[in-house]
Amino acid sequence: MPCALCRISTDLLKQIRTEKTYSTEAKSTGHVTLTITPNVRSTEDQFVSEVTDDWSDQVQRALQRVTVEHLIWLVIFLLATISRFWDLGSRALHHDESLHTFYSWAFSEGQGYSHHPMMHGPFLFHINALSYTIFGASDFTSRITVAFFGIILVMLPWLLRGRAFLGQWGAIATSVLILVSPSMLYFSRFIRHDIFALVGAMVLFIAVVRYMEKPESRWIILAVGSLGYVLTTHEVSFINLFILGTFTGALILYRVIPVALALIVGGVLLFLVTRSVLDWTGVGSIPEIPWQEPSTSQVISYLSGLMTHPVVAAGIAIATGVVLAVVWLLDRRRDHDMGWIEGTLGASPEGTTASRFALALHDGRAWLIGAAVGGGLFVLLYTSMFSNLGGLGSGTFGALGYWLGQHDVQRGQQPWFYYLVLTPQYEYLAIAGSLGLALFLAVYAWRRRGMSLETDRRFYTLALTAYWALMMFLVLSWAGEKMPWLIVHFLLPMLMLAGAVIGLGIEWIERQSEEWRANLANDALYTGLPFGLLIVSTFILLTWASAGPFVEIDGRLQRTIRDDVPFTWWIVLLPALLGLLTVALMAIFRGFRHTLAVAGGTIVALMLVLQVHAGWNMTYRDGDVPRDMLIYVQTSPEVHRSVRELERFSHEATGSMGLEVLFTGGSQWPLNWYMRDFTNRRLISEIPEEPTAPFIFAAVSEIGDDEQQRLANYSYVEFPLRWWIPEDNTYRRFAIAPELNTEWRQNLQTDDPPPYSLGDVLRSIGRSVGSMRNPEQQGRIYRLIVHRELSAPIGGYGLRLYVHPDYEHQFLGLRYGHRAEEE
Amino acid sequence: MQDTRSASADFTDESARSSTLDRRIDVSSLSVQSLLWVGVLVSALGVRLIGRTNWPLSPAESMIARDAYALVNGEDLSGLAASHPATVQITAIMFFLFGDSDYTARLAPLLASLGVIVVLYWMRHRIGTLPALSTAFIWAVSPVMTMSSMRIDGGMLLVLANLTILALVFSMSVEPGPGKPVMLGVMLSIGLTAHPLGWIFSTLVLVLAVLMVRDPEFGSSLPNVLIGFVVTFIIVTTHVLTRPYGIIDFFRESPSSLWTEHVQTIGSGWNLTLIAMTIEEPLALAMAATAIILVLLRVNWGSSTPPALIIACAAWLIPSLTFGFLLGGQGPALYAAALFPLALLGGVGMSMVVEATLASGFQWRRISVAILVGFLLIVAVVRLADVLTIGPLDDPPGWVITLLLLGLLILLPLFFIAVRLMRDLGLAVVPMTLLALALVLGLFSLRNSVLLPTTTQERSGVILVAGSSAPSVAQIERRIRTYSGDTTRYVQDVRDPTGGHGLVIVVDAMVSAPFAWYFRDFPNFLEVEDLGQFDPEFPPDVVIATRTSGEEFVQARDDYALVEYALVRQLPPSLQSTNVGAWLNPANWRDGIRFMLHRDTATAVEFERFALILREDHAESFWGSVPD
Repeated sequence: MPCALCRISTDLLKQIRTEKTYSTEAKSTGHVTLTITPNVRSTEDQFVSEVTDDWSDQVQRALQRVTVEHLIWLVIFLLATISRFWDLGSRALHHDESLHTFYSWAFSEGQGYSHHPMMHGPFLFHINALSYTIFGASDFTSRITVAFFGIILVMLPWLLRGRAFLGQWGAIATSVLILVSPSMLYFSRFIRHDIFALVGAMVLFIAVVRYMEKPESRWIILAVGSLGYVLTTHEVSFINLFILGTFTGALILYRVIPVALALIVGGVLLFLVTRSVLDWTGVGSIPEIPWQEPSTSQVISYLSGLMTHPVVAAGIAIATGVVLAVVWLLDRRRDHDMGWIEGTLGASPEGTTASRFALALHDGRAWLIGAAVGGGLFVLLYTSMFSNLGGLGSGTFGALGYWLGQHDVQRGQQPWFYYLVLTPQYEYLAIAGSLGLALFLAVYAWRRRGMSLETDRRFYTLALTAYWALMMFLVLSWAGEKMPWLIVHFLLPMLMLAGAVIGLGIEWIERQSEEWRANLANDALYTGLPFGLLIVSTFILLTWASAGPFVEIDGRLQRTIRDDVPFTWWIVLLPALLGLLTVALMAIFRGFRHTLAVAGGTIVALMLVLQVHAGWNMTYRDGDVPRDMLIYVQTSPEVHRSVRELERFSHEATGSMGLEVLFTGGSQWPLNWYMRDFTNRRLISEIPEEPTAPFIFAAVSEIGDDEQQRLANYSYVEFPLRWWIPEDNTYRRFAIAPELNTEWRQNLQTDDPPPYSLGDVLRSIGRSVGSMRNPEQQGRIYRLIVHRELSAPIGGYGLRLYVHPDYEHQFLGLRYGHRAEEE
Repeated sequence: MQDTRSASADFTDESARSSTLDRRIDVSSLSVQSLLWVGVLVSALGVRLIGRTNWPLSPAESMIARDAYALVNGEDLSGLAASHPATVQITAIMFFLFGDSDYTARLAPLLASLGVIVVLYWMRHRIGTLPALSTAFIWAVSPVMTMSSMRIDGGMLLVLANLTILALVFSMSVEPGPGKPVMLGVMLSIGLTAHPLGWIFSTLVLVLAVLMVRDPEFGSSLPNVLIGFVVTFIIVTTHVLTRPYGIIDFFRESPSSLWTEHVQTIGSGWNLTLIAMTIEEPLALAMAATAIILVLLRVNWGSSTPPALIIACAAWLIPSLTFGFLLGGQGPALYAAALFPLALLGGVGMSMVVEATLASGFQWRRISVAILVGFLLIVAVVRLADVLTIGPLDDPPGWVITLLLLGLLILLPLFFIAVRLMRDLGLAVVPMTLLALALVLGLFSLRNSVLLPTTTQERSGVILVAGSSAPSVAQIERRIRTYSGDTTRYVQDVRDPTGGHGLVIVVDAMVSAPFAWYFRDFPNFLEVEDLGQFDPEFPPDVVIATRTSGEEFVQARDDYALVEYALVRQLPPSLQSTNVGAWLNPANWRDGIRFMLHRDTATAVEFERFALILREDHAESFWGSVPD
């Protein structure tokens, strides 16, 4: 039945049209446009009409070109915007966040900014200062810049939709995975440098692979420009450059002079042997980097000590030897009539890294523009708009020195297996997908052995991504300082690999016949659905079986499994076994390919659900409650509440923000930020002899007998300033970590004293894995991962808000607090 | 030298075939109709998002939410999970994905409510685009449906299942296939397990739909229907095969619940269904009456709607309304299930009115003016009635001036314009007047829907919110939570790793709902049959009880203090029975109009109350002083 409304609309249109005459004219472009030609019309009218028609014609044509892919990207963009911006200001600022925001705010207030390596690159401070200048300073506006870059990160795979890269489906899948990745979501709403650095690294990566596909100047400009940008974000960019450099360098050397690779490997081995020998002879350790505000003389003394140290000297000698040998070999092999570039790289087959490198070297103009953009940004930001020329030094050697120095400091004291136990709790798809793709690439390369894979663009892209993920993971696991936010740096390439494998799967399905796909739909319904339901059933059963009573074991209250779990514990896995049986039967009756597609799709869907569960709860519900390993340490929401109460009280008492508030050094982060609007705030080094201020914040650790005496007539409320996940009772027991500086933290599993050998470490892993045979342990691990049920209370760093007797009655009406005199 | 043959042909170019992603979607051809559908969907969503949690979860809702929470966390389930398994599971999915809160608890009915519009969109080829769109419009602004989409009682899920059953039966008769019968079975099972009323309403819609379609092939689809039904039923009642005894529990609990809540009290609340239909759904009622009258008078108005559709809708409406009047346990679930056919019939009627107006051959400008005048006229008449019913109060001159202004300056000119237009319009005057009426009633329904969540405006006669928990429940919960956080922040163990939930809360089983839900994360929350049951060595900090048991408790223990708070909103006594004769008495019309327009009742709304009892040391901090 035709729609009456539509009919009326058509009638109406007809009616209007009868009042005018129409003519069509063919344009040179070949398309036909409808032009209104009234009987009498001025030239001006004609011009306006033509312009309008042209414009509307273009819009019309653009709308006609919209594809399913465009709509999917639009939905992804909308979801990214909502997920990154929604409720952005509700979580209290983390200690590090408050440092970043406070100095950005000070910068925006005209108090200047000087780069310090401790707080990484200057980009964050500049862009946040801009945000405060435009939108004002608040927790929300502090995070909008990172949220904005979070959206860019989600959308960047759009540039890799080509068949030479991730493919259309692969790019979409990657974007979706970034969108729902709990780690990416959480840290896209956390004002740190990591997302800024990640966007730069991704752009650099895109520029390289795009140039490899089609050598155009714009990619060189983008690569060099983004190089300057990434260096203004975070020192992890040095690792990214190392990864990119070693990958492309190795491929170039492989083409030009393969023996050089052997020379380099030999040089590294020789250095390791030399170092061992020197260590054995009793040569002292390499001098420690003076990372903490070094004076010029300290730096000179360090450098002279470093350069004269036998290990370093031997390293320099070996490296020089290798370089000279490579140059000598190159010189011998090159065509001397063609110069260095053409002579060495010119003979490389078209499409290889070496040939592209040669092409790029010839494009001096692009390098110049890129260098001007990147270099300009670097100089502008590191010198804080030319106000601190020393920033150029602190941003390069200073930053490297500081963070290499931090390697030995081991801030956070995280063990070598930190990322190994962190990642599987959140990033199921990234792990499964990247391992799957690595396997696929290996099989693919094996089946095409003897053929050049370097010019297979998609293989090249994925191989570089896999190398990026692996190297970043290894370097960050080796680094002394391991923090949860660093996970995103190896996670991004892992997500790209996972997205690629999903994309390849969908492409493969699309290539099958209509009939095959129709059968697949049936199989998905009749086998995939039961399989998925049986897995869900396993989860529900595990949840039920592991929800036993809390019992005191070894002096600690612990969750146990249910007493009424029938027969034995393994029976809860029965649905999963039935699910596997379903899949096996399908494989027998319907073939391996159908089974792979159906089971793979089901598993991906279930993992997505699990990631949404993990990410949503961590980000929007418990963002500042450290039940999650990824949250690690957070400012408690009580700080937010106290500040709101003081603001309210200040308005009531003074009519503005003039309330006098003192706060001690132990509480200055994040209070420097939260107290910024109190005009009578004061950071104090100790509690005054006879305090009179209405309100004083002091960390519990700073209150000794003397301070208690001075504050005797004050009342106080106490709450956690920061709180953290009970790591000693959770993941730190997984294995022995002999590399840690703090002895007692090396081994939380047994009473064996240090030192620990490799065998001890392996045995400790064995014990952890072996303990999983115990149903109680399985239950606890399950509840930790799926329900974030901790096996110990969270730890905290207490803060007290002291209230002067004159204000006590008024203020304590706002909350139910402790009173000092009651103690 | 390495082989430089490229492998790209096998990897990069494999996807050279065109992809689904490249399929064009001609956005430029989006019709007015598409925009109207989107508009209705967005409006429905907007209306349903306003103040969704202003009313805390009612005791009945909280029990479903508590069960869903228990399912997510592996705890034991109550009997309610057996009688409403589908509702509990869908709520549990929302909790698992988005965390447990009042808002997420009510997400499932919201999605089901939007699902109804999607099914109507799908049905447009069967019942006609305009009837489907009109039904969706009525649905979007309907207060009954809006309330039902804010309640986790399974009512909205039941309505969605019923409509889908109808759509599937219609569709199967035109485009048979194996998938639809299976889906029909699935929906039948969902309807049955969403709410005990599914036994009546889902069966009714299935039987009627089959009778209406009279598809001889339907019998051959029965095995597939049965497969879909049995498989879904087993999965849902056993909570995805994890509680095998769930099937037996369902057969015990669901009919028992149907009996005790609805059948046993048969005929007890017929007047409430009548009020819900006439007062809350005047748009659907007026348009449905129009459709029926047109069919009875055999007037066509050039409408393309087949009379058979109207008869079919009426055939569904009559038994549905009969059950709605007869069954007890009135509430949004029953209203929604019983009145949905009215919305459908109203949609059909409204589509006839719209079609007749558009087909009248008049230009848009005149049609718009006529509808606008009709609309203003109706509003002015209603306003005049309102002024008349309020009476002069203490300002007779002002009242008279208002009446004169309203009558002379607004009503009279509008009346003359209307007469003039009527003369011009000829036969089209009736549909145009009806359309204006629909517009007024639509706005009136929209207003009533938007005002449903209001808790600060006294609208004692809104029967749809009867049974809701009072806002004080959520306020007290927040205060106790804050108090507990401030006083027990450092009382931590693995059951409460963050600390702050250290208060010992004992609740009388008679009022455990909704408090068992609201204090679900307090490890020392204890539900008791007898308040004297707790361990004297471990005295409760907080006791929540009925008024009677609370007073007895405080009399026995002088170290506790008690304050009463509102718990559940009840019907005002004047609405608990309806005297139809009184409605016909002109002396009561004024009150009647006040009730219709403002939901004013003769008696104020009443609340069931609960006793909050605190130990003396807490009482002073909590209340500022210890109450007598």
